[in-house]
Amino acid sequence: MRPSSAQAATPSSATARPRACADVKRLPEGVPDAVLVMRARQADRGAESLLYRRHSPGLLSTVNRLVRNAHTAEDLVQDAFVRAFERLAQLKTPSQFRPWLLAIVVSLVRKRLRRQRLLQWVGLDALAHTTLAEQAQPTTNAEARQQLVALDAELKRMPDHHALAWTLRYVEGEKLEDVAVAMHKSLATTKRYIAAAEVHLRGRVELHPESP
Amino acid sequence: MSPLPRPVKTVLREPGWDDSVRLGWARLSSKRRARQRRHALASTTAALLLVGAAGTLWARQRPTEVASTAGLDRLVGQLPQARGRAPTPVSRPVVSAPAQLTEPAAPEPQPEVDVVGALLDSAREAYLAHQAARAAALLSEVAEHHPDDARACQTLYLLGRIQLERLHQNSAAAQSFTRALERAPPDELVPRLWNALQRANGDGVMIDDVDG
Repeated sequence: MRPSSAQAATPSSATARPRACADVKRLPEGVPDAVLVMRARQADRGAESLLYRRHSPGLLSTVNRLVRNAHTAEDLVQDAFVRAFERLAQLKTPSQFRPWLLAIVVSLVRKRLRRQRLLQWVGLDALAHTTLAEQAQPTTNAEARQQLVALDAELKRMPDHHALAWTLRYVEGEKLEDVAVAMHKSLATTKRYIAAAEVHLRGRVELHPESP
Repeated sequence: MSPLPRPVKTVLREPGWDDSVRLGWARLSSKRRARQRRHALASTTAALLLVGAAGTLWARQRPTEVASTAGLDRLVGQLPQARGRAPTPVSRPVVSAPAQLTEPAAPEPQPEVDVVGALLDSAREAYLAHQAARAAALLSEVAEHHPDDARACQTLYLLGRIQLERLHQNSAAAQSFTRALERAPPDELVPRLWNALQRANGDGVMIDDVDG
């Protein structure tokens, strides 16, 4: 990742005195999330900034694939971080910052999708949404693109919570436990959602069998 | 047809999020500030509304007691002291014996004995002992049987106040105030009596508006 403007600040100005807006303060990139969370809880803006820089690119990609609009994705990820920093004291296990953040962002995505559906229903959704096929790598062959089109169509047809759980698990490759946390559901319920989506997709989209 | 791999994102391209991440931190900070301002504004508004609603309810529910208890206590404290000792301590509430009392068998023209003062003392003691009914009975006795005493008007006023605020006998209180007004009260007492009479008649005037 390219160094951000925060990182590009002069180290002397950052180390000389603590600043209210300490996002210019350099922190080693390898600091674990748990340490950053502990520091962010004490209003260390540098730690917050590093958490943001560390997790936002991955989160932006995930959210972009969920809502299919880059601007909406940026907006939602920023909102998720705002909420996360506000509620950082509620995070029981600081090392679990990413799954917890994913849960926040997924809840925002669900709200946004509900709103989007309502807007579509009344004909007011003016946002341009990309398809999975449009997001495919340039090297992707035509067959795979066709499969992506089919997958896109089927995901739109199934209930949101099934599509979300399946997307997190098999498009994003999240661990089942993390999907459950993100969906605010038990592991069993999450498995049921994913299985229902899998049944829906069977025969319509060709996917590699799930690795054990 | 070749099946899609799991996770599907391996065939999707990752947009570069560097600019979004760099600009996002500034937007995130401004969103946080805006959110904090909104929270502060909402909290202040809610607190003000709560205080206003509680104050309105409080004022509506207990206007007389709240406004006038202190005034009534002060009035009782200002009752004139007896100018001498009564021949016998007056301790009985004389409520239902007007016939015998209006025809005194043996008038007692003893200038040194201040019967009215003794009655007023007893009324004060009864009031302070939270025996409002007994205090009212003693004051009634003064009003009934010593109408020519200089303290009769003040006694009637106090009687009315006790009837109104402690015994909640509005019509009796109105009668007491009317009788006091009919007996040419001192000038400074007239507005108070008038005000209290309006209150007793349910005109919603706060008694302490005049008593201060």
